[in-house]
Amino acid sequence: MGYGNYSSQAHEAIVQKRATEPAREVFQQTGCHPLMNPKGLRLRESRDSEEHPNSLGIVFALDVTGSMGSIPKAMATKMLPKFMKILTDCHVKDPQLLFMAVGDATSDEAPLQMGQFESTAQLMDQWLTWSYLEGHGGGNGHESYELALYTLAQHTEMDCWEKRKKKGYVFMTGDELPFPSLSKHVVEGIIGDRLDQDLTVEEIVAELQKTFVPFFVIPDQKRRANCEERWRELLGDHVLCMNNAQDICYVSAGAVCLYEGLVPDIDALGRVFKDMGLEYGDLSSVLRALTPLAEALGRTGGPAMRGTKASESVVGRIVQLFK
Amino acid sequence: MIKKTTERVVKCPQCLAPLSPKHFAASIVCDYCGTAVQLDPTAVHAERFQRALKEWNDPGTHGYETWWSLEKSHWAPGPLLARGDMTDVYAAERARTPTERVVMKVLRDPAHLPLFEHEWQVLRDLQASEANGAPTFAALLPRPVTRGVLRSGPFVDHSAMVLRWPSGFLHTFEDVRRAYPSGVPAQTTVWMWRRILESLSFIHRSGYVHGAVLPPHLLIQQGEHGLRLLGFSCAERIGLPLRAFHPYYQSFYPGGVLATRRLQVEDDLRMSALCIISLLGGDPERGTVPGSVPAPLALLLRQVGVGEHVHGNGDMAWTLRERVGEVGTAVFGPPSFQPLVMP
Repeated sequence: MGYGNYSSQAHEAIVQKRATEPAREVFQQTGCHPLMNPKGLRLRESRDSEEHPNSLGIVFALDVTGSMGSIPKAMATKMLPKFMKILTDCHVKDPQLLFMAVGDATSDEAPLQMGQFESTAQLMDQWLTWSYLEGHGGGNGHESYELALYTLAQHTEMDCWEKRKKKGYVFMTGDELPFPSLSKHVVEGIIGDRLDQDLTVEEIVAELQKTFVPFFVIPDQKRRANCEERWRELLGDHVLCMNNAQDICYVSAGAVCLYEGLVPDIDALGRVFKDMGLEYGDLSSVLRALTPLAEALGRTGGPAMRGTKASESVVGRIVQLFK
Repeated sequence: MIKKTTERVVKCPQCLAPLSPKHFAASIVCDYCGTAVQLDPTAVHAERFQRALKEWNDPGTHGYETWWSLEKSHWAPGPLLARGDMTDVYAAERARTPTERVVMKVLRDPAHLPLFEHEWQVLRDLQASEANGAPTFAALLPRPVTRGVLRSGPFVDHSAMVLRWPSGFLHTFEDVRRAYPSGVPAQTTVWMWRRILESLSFIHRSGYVHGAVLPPHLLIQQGEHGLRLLGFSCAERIGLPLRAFHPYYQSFYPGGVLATRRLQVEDDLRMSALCIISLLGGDPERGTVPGSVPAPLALLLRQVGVGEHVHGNGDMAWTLRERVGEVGTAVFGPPSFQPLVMP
């Protein structure tokens, strides 16, 4: 997949038409769309073509359980063209987007939905809005994120990796924990794969990170407490904590630009956002979410791992214990 | 919905002998001709994922040449950031992809292990606190990652704890005092003091007293109005005895603390004022403030330093924070962006 050209104007036109529509008008599925049903899934491919000789696979795995529905809606009614514009402005040549929807395999009717890698506005939008926002989840503090990550590790092929050893990107949104392990029965039931053993989430992430740069994006500060610690054990500095769920496209596009080294530092990225009309409050909110990553990548102009010299004034002092 | 299953007869393609694989077997060796038969193209072998995990957890896979193993995790050491009273503090990162930047505190003397363990417990408690404002304020405290005994590297057998890297926070009040020996601009201390009091308010609401609000335990955010409290090894539940103190900073401790050795929330407030006084180039021991500091702010600092304005019911830290805001507005006008510039 991935044929056709991207048009920013076409994409803006699509989302502007429905900017004020309620979610149920934008996302009309009342069950898993047959073309997004992962049962029998073999491969999702991001391929080079004459039009797109430097394809880069980018996956949005969107949690569509109860509290997380605002992110797909924001993307479909406003933000996705901005994501693409940032990538274009920062010279990401041929991004190809794949949308997945993630729920809870223990309780949802459609715990996993999977689109295709696409290059055109119409098709990106199609897969996004074909997603069924089931809005349930298990209420058990976990969602089947590990199932989505397994699917990407096992069922995708990307020319960016195959031909150029450049990893694709995964942005998984969520506010819960992954299940500690993925049952082979669940995999067989939902996808049809016959695993010979259950897999731990660590094993899945280990396999996934060979071909993808994975990020877990928490929508706001309040929900960090639920899941941040566990996701950091798995993904470290690739856990991005936003201040506002609406920032998803700026934060994810910014992460790609920083990671690819397409902007020299966070200030330069801020200028790109500002040129796009991002206002001061929103701009600082987005940059706050990205600063730890930028620092980790050494793109803040800050110390990253250089640190500062040891403070000599306290060398050798000891704390006095009360007996 | 009941799923129908299809019964299948499985035969060896080589000799047509019947095969009886286990339900989830991906392959089977024919008992008759010895051929290994793959049973299903949808078979996925977990072994590939298990091997990936092994490689992922090997720092060499990610190009690291030096690492310290802390129990089962591996950390690549960076520069020595500071030498604290009990620990050497290093920048470090998880020797894995994606990495995680951290601060690693390595205990120098095993005699301090109880304090070290206590600090870990306090930090865990504060991260788990459900006090009002927890999502905001817990994020501004040191965030525990892991702890244990170092199994490799130059500090083998030393206890260590790993804390999340405080992004953007580089300089302690100690560093600032050295950079501004005659005192920082007074206007910057308004937001600094308010930030300290906000954190203290959360700590107090969570049932703790910090007990060591001292210049080396206050970190300033570069180019912003942020501040973090460190050094929780002496923190204690309100009213309990202080476990230890820092002799070098004795002048910052209210006399009552060292005399009664029981911590109250007002002790933290008094120490915060003395830290600000020292930052302004004043003398925390005598509570004097340079003449260049506007009188209302100087008066409030002196009063709080000796224990006024810090008594009463309710959230004293937050009440004082509001008072500092009022004084700041009266003296400097409405709040404005005044980050401290470090030379």
